Amino acid sequence: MHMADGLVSPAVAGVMYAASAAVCLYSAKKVKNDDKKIPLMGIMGAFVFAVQMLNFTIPGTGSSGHLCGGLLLSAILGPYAGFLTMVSILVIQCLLFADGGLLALGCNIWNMAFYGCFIGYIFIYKPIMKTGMSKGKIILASLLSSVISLQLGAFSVVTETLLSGVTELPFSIFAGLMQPIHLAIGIGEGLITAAVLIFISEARPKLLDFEVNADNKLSYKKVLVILSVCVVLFAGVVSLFASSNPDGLEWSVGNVTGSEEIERDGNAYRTSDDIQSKTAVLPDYSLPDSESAAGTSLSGIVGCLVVAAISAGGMLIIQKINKKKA
Amino acid sequence: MADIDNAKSEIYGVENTASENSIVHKLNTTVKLIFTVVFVCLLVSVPKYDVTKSVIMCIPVLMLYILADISIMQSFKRIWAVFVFLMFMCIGNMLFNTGSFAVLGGFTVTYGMLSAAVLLLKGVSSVLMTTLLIESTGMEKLCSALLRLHFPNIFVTELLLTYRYIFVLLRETKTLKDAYSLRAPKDRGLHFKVWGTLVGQLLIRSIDRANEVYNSMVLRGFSGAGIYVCKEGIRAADIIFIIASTVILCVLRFTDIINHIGGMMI
Repeated sequence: MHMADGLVSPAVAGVMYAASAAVCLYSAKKVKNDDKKIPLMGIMGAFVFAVQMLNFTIPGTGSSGHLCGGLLLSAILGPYAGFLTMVSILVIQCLLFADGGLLALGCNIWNMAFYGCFIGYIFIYKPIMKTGMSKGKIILASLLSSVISLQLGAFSVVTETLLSGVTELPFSIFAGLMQPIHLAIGIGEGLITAAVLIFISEARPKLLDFEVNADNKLSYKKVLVILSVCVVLFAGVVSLFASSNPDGLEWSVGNVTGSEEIERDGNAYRTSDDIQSKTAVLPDYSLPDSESAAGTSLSGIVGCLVVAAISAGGMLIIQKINKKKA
Repeated sequence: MADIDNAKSEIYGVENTASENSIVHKLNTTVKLIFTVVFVCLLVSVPKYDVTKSVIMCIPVLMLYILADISIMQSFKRIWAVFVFLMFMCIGNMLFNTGSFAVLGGFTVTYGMLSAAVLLLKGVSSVLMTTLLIESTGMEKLCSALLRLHFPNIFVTELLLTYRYIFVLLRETKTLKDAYSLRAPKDRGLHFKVWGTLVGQLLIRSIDRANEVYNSMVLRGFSGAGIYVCKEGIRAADIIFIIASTVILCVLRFTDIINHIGGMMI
């Protein structure tokens, strides 16, 4: 899943660097006061790097897989130290083995370290383990976290490459190729991680108890702040580089009718256009009577905030209805 | 990724090459790091059908490899992994963009072919330049440069420790793999019944070792601060290099210099 430099545009690479650097700085701040963890992080990084060289036979398939290690690192070191360790592994792979580009490093950190260490561990593995460990729970948690993290990572690769505009592959074909391959890889990764974690839970249970019971709560407020920063970066910066060419639908309509927009006539259409022109704050993704880049950025940010507000509002209403029913 | 022996020899190879003494090796590490980032940014910003610019941007890579006295073919062999994903994307471009760009002697050159060529050139050049950075610098100097650029201390220390322990852990993993291969010579990989025990044992041994390392580091005065810093001053030559190289890169990237030179010749 390592992306090369040729696959990303400077805009996408910059945004992903900013997002990954923010998580990196936050993680460094969280681990700062724990000197004892530093050598452990170093050794664990080297351990994951070395174990990646081993081939694991996947039962019943005749093929073999290898360990990525994000979840395993988080289970032992915690998500923040695990994330930093994954970053150092990716840096070494990039510099020494040309596995992934220097400019694409931000993308690779996000796709391979962030999802495994934060989404996979904090939102899936940890809640499942909260009520106590068992073999079944470890297998379930490892499989779910690995599959979901890898699916998110693969989808991010598709999105980043398409946003960079370097590929002619249509979204459906690209995603259709990437997602199933990474589903199989995720299952393999989940099984290997589960086997190792089961062994540790029997041989040295304290190693895993320590992290599951540690106070690593990521509050909704923090999640909102992180997501808001990402939204502003993506919508405000990447939208500036959006193509001025027609989108797929406009292109198809243009080929059939000779014009990118279908001419409409009638009272209903006129009334609808009238309402739209009065209510649209940022018509055609720009400030009224202006073609400035600030308008494009602003429309991206406003659009994302409106969607986020509607989604959050909807969730709150559903939550209240559920509480009333209960 | 390569197997254990290859990985070990590649790391040793990089260490050996980094200890050479060419003009490129003598440059300040921070300057080299900034130059590499500028180069890669300018390279990937080349438009997707502009084959000429992509070829022109390969010139600095070739020049620096010659100046550093490092075999470009040797580096080329190390980066084959990059090709796998790039080739997949290139084939996709050729299949899905069949618009005709030119017809040369009955052979139609499509836009897909142009974008595939640009993608391949960009990918290979950027990886070669990154490889040159580490081959002419070494990991310890690079970590010092990261500290000077105010990267978090804990991250740099951890990066350096990981790098140092890779040698030890690779050796242990090789021993484990060889022992397993001798007992199960027909197996292509580790049988699933031993996944947990084999890798788990290695993990527990590694953690025990980490504790010993921590204790010895504390006894030597470790308190979480940077553990090693290579001192490097910035010379006039470094400043001249970064200014001149940035100007040259911008000229190559943003002007039509090849056409101008061609025009003067004709």
